[in-house]
Amino acid sequence: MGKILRVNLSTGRIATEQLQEEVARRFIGGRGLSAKILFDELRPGIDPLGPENKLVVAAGPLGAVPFSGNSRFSVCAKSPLGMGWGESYSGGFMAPKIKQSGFDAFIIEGASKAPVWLYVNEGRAELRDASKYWGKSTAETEAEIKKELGDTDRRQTSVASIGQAGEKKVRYAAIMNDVREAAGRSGMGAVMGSKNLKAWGCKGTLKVSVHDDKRLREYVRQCVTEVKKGPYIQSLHDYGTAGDTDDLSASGRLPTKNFMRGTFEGADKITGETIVSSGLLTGRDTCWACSTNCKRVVESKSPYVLEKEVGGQEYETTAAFGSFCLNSDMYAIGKANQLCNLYGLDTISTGVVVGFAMEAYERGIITKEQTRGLEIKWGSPDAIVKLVEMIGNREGIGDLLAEGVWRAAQKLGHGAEEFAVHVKGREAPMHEPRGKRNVGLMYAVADRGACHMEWEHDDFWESESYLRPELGLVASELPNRTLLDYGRSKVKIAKVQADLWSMCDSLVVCVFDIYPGGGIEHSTLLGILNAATGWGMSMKEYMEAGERAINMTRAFNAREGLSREEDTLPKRLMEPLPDGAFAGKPFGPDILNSMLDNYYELRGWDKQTGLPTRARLQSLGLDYVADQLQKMSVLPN
Amino acid sequence: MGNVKVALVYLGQAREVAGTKEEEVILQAPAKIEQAISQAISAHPKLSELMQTLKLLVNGQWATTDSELKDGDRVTLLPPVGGG
Repeated sequence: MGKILRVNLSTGRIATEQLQEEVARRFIGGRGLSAKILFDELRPGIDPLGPENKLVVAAGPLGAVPFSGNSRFSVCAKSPLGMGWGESYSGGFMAPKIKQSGFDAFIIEGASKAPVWLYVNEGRAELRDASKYWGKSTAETEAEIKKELGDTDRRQTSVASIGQAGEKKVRYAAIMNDVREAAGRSGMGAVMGSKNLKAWGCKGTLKVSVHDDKRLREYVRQCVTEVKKGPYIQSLHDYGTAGDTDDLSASGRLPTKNFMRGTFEGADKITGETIVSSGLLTGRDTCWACSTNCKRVVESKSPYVLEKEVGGQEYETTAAFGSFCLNSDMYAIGKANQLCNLYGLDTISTGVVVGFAMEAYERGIITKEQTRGLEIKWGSPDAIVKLVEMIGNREGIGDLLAEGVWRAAQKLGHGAEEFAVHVKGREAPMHEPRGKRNVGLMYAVADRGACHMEWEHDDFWESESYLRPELGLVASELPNRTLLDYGRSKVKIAKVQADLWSMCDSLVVCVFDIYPGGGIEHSTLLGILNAATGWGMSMKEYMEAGERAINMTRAFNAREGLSREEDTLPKRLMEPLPDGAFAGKPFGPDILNSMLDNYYELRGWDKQTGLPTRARLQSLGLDYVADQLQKMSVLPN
Repeated sequence: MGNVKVALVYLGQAREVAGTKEEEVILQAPAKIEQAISQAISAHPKLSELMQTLKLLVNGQWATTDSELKDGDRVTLLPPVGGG
């Protein structure tokens, strides 16, 4: 079994702990292990930006096994943006480096008095002075750390850092690694900033021992064949994740003007295909071991300078700074994206905040005096770019906006809460629940707050092509062939998928390469896991591990006082769209409540509170969690 | 009874298979979507493999294969759009 590195920034103590097999098998992590550590070690009610919060960074049990999609790592903590549980994932080259530097995971606790960075190399770790890097961007920090280490190869050390946004505790600050990769969501960069931890860097070439190397190689070869069968793979390579932008508009599901509309007339000007045909795209990049190459390289001298090293816009960013703000200037989107990467900001939350500010400005809730003369009108490319800078620096109105739409709306008043689009404090991503009912359910129930990555979206269940009887996805339970269906079968698809994707987040693999969006089957992933660990795990145990992780994050939130009341949708998303193929079809409370009832029932949770029952927790071997919830009087009767 | 000229708009995977984003087809009136699809498959046989997963829109509104078409209609072939 692997090792965990524990770093106390208050005392400077660094220790190595052995990961116990019994724990590693039941709490697989990524998500599973991180949820157990944080549930066990964090006191409910702590300040997420105080020294009591802990940051768990994990590569998962398959780190450094070379197959497409196995390049991700997780960062979890109590979220300073949301109301409880926080988690975020990133790609690039960090995950194998964590493992090859000797560890499965890091637990970072306490807070340093002065800025430091953590250097992990071949099983050893040390804290180094980072005061000279404080105030610098993520790219500058990474470059200077590599210089400090005397690196001659850009892939020798993988560095994750925060920019000015994390230092200033912008509540949706990201952690950036390998310059252009972001653990963006949930404000994990702000947690780093609160601890005076500017960066960590991993170097190493340690060989990772596996149980059955021959078998593992066979499964890895199988991945090479399977990944090519993924329906998206060619499009992801050619046009990146933004390749679907105009498709979403055509079907009335492109979040537009702060979720006021579902179609955007400028969609074809910002979509992935246009980024290619215009010449803005100058290259394609990749994460470790991945054959898909969905990452974009963009370059431009005007109207905005875009540097090829700082990353190109993906779909979420394209929509968030594009249609969401009524902006059809892809160069401005590229600039906003690169500024987010350099300041260390989540592009989803930042885009939603900018759209929120534009609506507030239009309604006179934010005034020209507050913006120091900046006209933040819908569709203004310069206003978008300037607002990103102001947020990253917490300058002027940027200081208020750095709090996120939930808190900013409360402070602004005058009805601003009516159009603050968040769930559990986290800004909604760029997918339209009014055209995908299961996405609405997902936004509502995700413990991290509004999230589009808990399970695959409704479109896939419009045909039998993606059903898998061995996973419990059978034809007899196929929902009606309509994206607006919200019956029990549709919800069951969501529940089964959630358990599977929870395993993706626990093994920390990229869902773009995994069934159903990608071609690699879960049976293959399970084969890899068993070959690597020798566990002989069944598919039932595999899916149960995914479900256990979901119950752990729910229990974490239960202790923070969250229950069914917080599993909701913002008012804006419940109103009918005025345009497109879903015009006039609201996602009303009756629909949401029906879906929630079914979801809780399928999970074995109490319908009244939306919380796990003792029986459900016991069946997952989580008796101690039930005891804790009972002690806090939040265990359902 | 004359001819009906409609535009076929291919999105995502359908665009990859057809090798074009949009093309015009001429159908004999009265025309239904299934005739337009049939022509599309004749021109791009691999589209038939995708048909089970595609959804159809006419002028931005949901439609089925037996929906009737009129001159100038735009038929969109939409593959699954997922998360990410």
